Amino acid sequence: MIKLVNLCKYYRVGQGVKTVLNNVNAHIKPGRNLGILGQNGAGKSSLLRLIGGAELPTSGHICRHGRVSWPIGFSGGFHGSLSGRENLRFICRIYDACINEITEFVEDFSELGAYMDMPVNTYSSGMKAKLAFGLSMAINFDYYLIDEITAVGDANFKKKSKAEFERRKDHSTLLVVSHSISTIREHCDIAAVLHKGDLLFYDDMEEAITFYQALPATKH
Amino acid sequence: MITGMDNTFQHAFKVQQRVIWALMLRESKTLFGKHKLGYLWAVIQAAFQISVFWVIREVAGVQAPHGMSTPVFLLGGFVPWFIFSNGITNGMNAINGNRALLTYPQVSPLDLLMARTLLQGAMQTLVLVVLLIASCAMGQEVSIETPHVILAALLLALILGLGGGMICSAFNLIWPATEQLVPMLLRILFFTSGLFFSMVDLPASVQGILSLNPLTHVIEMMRQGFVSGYGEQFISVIYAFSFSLSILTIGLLLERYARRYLDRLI
Amino acid sequence: MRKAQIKWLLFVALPMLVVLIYFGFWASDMYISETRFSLRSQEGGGSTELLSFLGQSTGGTGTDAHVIEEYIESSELLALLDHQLSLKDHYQNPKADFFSRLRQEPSQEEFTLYFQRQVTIRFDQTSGILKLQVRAFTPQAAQHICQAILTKSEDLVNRLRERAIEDSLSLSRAEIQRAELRLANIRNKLHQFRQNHNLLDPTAEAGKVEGLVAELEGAAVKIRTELAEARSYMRNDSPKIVGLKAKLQALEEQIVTEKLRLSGQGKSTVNSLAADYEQLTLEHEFAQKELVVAMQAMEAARVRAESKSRYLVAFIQPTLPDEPLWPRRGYAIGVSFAGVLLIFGMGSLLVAAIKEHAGF
Repeated sequence: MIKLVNLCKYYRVGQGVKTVLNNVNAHIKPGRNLGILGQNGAGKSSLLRLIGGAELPTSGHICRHGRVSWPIGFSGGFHGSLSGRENLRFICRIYDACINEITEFVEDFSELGAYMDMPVNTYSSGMKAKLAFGLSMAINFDYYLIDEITAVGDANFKKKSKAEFERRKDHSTLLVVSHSISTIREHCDIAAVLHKGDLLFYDDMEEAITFYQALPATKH
Repeated sequence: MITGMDNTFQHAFKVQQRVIWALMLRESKTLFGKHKLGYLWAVIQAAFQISVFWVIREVAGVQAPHGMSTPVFLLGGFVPWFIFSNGITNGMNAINGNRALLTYPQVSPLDLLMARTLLQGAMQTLVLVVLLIASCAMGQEVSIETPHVILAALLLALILGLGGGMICSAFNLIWPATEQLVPMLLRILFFTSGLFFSMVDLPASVQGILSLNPLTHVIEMMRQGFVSGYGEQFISVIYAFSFSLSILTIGLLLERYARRYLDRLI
Repeated sequence: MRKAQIKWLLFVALPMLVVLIYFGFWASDMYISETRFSLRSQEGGGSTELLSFLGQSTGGTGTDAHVIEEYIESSELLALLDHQLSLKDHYQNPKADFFSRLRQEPSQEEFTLYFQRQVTIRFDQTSGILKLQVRAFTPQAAQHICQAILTKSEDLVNRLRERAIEDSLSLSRAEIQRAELRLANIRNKLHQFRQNHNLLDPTAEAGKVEGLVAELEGAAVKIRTELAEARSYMRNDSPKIVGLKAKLQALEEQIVTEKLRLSGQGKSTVNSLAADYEQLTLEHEFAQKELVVAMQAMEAARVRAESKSRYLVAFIQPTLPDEPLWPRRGYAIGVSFAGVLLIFGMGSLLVAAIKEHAGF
């Protein structure tokens, strides 16, 4: 279970202050995949980073019971001049995972072949995403934090990941943030909407979608 | 594999050790793995600087004090200096250079700094050993009379470098001009820390001013480790120690304060 | 919050309370007696060497001052002082608090270490002044100990000085001895020579003989002239001429004998004796001069050594303190407070930094 207690997060933007979360309280229960809908700039990624622990809240705190992955989807955590394999080793080390097992799984899953030994600089964004995704799948997390699942890979790879998710549904929970309704519908059981600093939970997915669709389009 | 959450201090400590170790391995590849000569560069760099000042001292006809041989005297100055200054320059850029790694929640900015500083410390210690052996092979007299003093000096240099690095990296986040300012300050310290001259030789008035710089104590301590009895009237271990710890505490505090500036830049 | 309060109490408040109680109520008063002295030589005051940037220091009063510093911290001095003033009894005073006093039955090392803490000796390179401070439980004891250390240090400096002078004179002294020996030898030889040849001064003797020869030759010349003159108007066999001839012959014979005596073959002619004698007198003169030079050198060395040697000059005699200045309670409390805060702050920051890694 992940508990968000009185969670607030503000960013200073220029002279002003941008509110991402305003006193959010929530329980994210294991076993039911949660989709979080939000318009562009609502702070979805920030929320994910907060839950993952990569960022600290302005106030309030987060209780995590279970292993939470890093936000998957962006391949941020790779070092460009190191090879895929070296990056993989680093992640294995910090998660205390067996390097051999993980390498085997990732090689099989992400189908990078000889590219595993090439610097990550030379990867296409799809390859980077595959590596990141395969890696996160190889390490057993209780919660997977996924940022815009659609960004990851081609149709074949998507099918594979979907199957992998299904396979471990018993002991892993997905937390997907997206602005796309179809993504959420495909992967999640329940949904929430992040809007103006509030995280609104809906037991019924359709209700959430209706609410989300009713929001006025974001103005830039 | 999936275990219950372990929030104990011991577990956290283990995780941190793991993270720092992983970061060090990674840094060793990114810092030294790029060049063909790799690790050798650190040795060459130190050896070059030391030989320059060796030649200068020879030309000036100045003997190292207290029966020390010149390369040992210079090593005693340069190794703590490299640990300190590399700690600061690497520390200052550690967060900017590795921001992506902060995506992994167990990697904290402090870990990035510590991993780099520890790696530098280990590297420079290796340089020290290699160059000591080299000087020995060149027929210079090399003696290590009190190894624990050398270790203490290396540790103090490490703490100063780490603390200084934390302070600089915090300032760098708050005020990006720091990056331009710090090299200037380091240059001043380079000339006033007694890397290539002995504090003991200076007039008391100058000595009094320079003794405020904790690095002078660390460097003289290092030399004392080679030749015991050297610089006894100058070195204040208590000063160096409390200064280093204060720097470290201020660094830790500033690091916390500067975190709010970190978010903006991600 | 609770936990933080407990930590605060345990790691800051409690240690500070202990420090406060100790320095506020328990710590015994100690008195500090102080003296200042310097090492002076006749060549000028306490010396300071202004050194070049990369240069190095050389001896001078500095080294002597360091000798004093070492001596004051030595167990040798401590033994002397203990014998003279029974230091142990004073510092073991049961009225003093546990941490300030000396343990009962301490080992020699403990005692030395303890005493070193009570005595501070500082040497200021610039002014060449040595500052000695002694702590004790009564003002009188502090002054007495301080005075005793000063006296002993002065003794040491005097001993060092005498030794240095002795060292620098020993060489010239040996030189003088050798010169004296040589002179005595030659005098002896000279004496022997005179006795052997039964004459005081062969040179004078030779002069005498030479004079005699010249006289004889003069006489011979005179007779020859007379003879030549007589022959012009007299027959050869006239008695005058015969007489003159005989006289001349006698004279010539005498001349030959005298000349032989003066410079003929053999060792004991007057001339060779004179040469030997001259050699001896020359050597005698030389030895005499050598002795004089050696004596002058010793005198110069003595002057030099005396002028170089150092005297201990105490220009502030050991003071009799009237106020206990030790321990510096406010200072100690302040420093402890800062230290405790620093360690606590750093500790909790480090713990917090480590704890951030929990749960991954």
